[in-house]
Amino acid sequence: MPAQLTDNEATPIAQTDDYGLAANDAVNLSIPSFSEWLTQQNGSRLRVSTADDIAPLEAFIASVSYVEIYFLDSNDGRGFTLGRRLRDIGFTGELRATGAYAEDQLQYLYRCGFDSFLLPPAVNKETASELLRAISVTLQPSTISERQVILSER
Amino acid sequence: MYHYQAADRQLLQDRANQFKDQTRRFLNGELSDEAFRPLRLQNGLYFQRQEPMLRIAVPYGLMNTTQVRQIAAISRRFDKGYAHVSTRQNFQLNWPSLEYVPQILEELAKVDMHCIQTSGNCIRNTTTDALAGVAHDEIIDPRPICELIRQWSTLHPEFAYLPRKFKIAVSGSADDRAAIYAHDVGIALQERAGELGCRVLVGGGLGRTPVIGTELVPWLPIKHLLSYLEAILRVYNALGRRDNKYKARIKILVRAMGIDAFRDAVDREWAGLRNGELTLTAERLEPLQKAFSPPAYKTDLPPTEMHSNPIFLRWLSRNTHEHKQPGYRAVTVVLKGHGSAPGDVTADQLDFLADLADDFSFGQLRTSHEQNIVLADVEERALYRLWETLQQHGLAWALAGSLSDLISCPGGDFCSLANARSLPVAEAIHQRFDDADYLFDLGPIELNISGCMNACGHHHIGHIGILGVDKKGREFFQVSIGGRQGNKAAIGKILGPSFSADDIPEVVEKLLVTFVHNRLPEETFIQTYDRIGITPFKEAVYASATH
Ligand code: SF4
Repeated sequence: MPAQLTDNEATPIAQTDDYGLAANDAVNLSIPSFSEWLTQQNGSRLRVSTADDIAPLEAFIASVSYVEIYFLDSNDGRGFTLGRRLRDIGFTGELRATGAYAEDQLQYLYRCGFDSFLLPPAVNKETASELLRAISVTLQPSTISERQVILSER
Repeated sequence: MYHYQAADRQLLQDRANQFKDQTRRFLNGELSDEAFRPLRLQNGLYFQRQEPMLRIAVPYGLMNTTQVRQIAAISRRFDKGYAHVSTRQNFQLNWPSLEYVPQILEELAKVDMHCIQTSGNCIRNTTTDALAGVAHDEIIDPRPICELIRQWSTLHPEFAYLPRKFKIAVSGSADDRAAIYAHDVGIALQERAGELGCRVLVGGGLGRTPVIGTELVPWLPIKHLLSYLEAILRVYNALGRRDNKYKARIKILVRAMGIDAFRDAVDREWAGLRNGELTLTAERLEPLQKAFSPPAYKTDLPPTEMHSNPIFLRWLSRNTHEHKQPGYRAVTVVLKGHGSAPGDVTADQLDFLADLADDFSFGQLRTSHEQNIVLADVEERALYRLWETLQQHGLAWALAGSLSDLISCPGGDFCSLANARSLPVAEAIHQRFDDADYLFDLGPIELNISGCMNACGHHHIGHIGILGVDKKGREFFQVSIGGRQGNKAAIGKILGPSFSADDIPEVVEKLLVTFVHNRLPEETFIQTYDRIGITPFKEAVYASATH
């Protein structure tokens, strides 16, 4: 089981990050958030929210091996642009989508450079693999990672 | 016209299957209303007051007759036997049931049609001049570029969840008939020393906050168009507001940043994209240009002596347009008239228009943003015969660009966002002004009606604009004058306090009387307005309203 909050009133404050996100099966607080990472500027793994401006990341991109983009809600399309920008500035590590994106966005996310997915609740790997292949034709360039796609069920 | 390739057809097939699966998951409860909403909207399906409404894409308004007949057949089989031309050159079905939508999509796919991105917060159907390719003042045929943009924007992975809808229009003529100043991005094609390029405008739009677009770049070689558009969309997607849907359009972002800062942001983004994969090569552009090469015009047509029937001549002067090719004219069939909403067309009329297009216009027809149908390539010597046939079907009555050619959104009878019912107002105006001689003498007058601030009826740019407003739960209408489309696009000025629906025909009449009274010989409504200003109109309308 992933870490769960208890009813103990003292803990939630300690266990939410600077986005106000609490640790749960979609948020792993052991990975530094973007602002936490910025203060250290040397970790190889970080969490980014769709609201972050990642420009400062560019200079350090070679040392980063894992980025997790947390979708605040499924209509928040900034994550798609974030993914492509990360790939454009040369990020070659694992790019994971977590949070509130929708299963019908999987293929678009994949085409924007994501290669790792914490699947939405109730979506299993088989369904996800089908959704990733829903449209077999593309009419514009994609940013597709060379890596093997990682799918994790909740 | 562009012919779908195997890849285009496969895409439509995949998309139809995908939507079938999404609808199935919605109907069996796997997808919530909220989760299904963006998916159905991206596929043109609205849930509104009465039944769902399905919007069918007509890329840049161009169709062949097989497609038109298929729309007629679909409207008979799955709907009430009529369809509606929207102000974005698309077709709408007002009454299909959700269960039938996947089947409708399959039927559409058979004739290379679809509903992709006709709604939702994505890049919508690219629009252009209904006279594209035939207009006498055309510099560059915009259709190959529209097709290029269609392909680039179709199921674009990065831009399907924008802050708000995004509309692009392209013009290739001296005279802007594509309303490029009223779009999120407007593209004016140009040529410099033999090179194809364009001027790019950004941040125009109607709706709650009407804004005339601003120049982003005066000249962009065409090979960079797609990478530049991608940069614009990327800046908008990253920075556009998402907290308030009324502040989410790109015009608000451009205004908040200022045009120079916005341009800098686009240029920074573009630096990484330009000369990349999206760069347009001659190998990519030429087949598109070839797809739109002129039809087999006859070059040896003798000069035509026009029939002297005065009613025909009136129709000829208003509903036909000068053509690039000597001996030909383009014809507007106005879809306005008594008892039906502007832009409504029955299945039988669609079949009839398809027959006409086959007989008179190389088997193609167009939808216009004035909610009409255009037959673009008619021989002059066939015009009288065409007019007679149209007359027999009641389709030669209204004069293009006159009061009887008014534009209206569907309003409160169909649309859940409406403040007021716009269609009864349109009908009342039709009834009051049905004297063809009078309408002809008035000359060109554009009257536009919207049922709410969203401005789907483009009331801001009507010479006379009518907007439905809600006052303590009652329907009222605000009237503005002096708006216009084209190169001198301007937003109309509000006359004063609003009116009840019953008052509107009277108000319009007073505006017209004021115009006729003040007009110099040959002056149009808008010219008189520019000369005398709003005051005489205001006085005429309100003086007698308060007696
Ligand atoms: S202007 Fe308003 S009422 Fe009319 S169609 Fe648009 S949203 Fe509906």
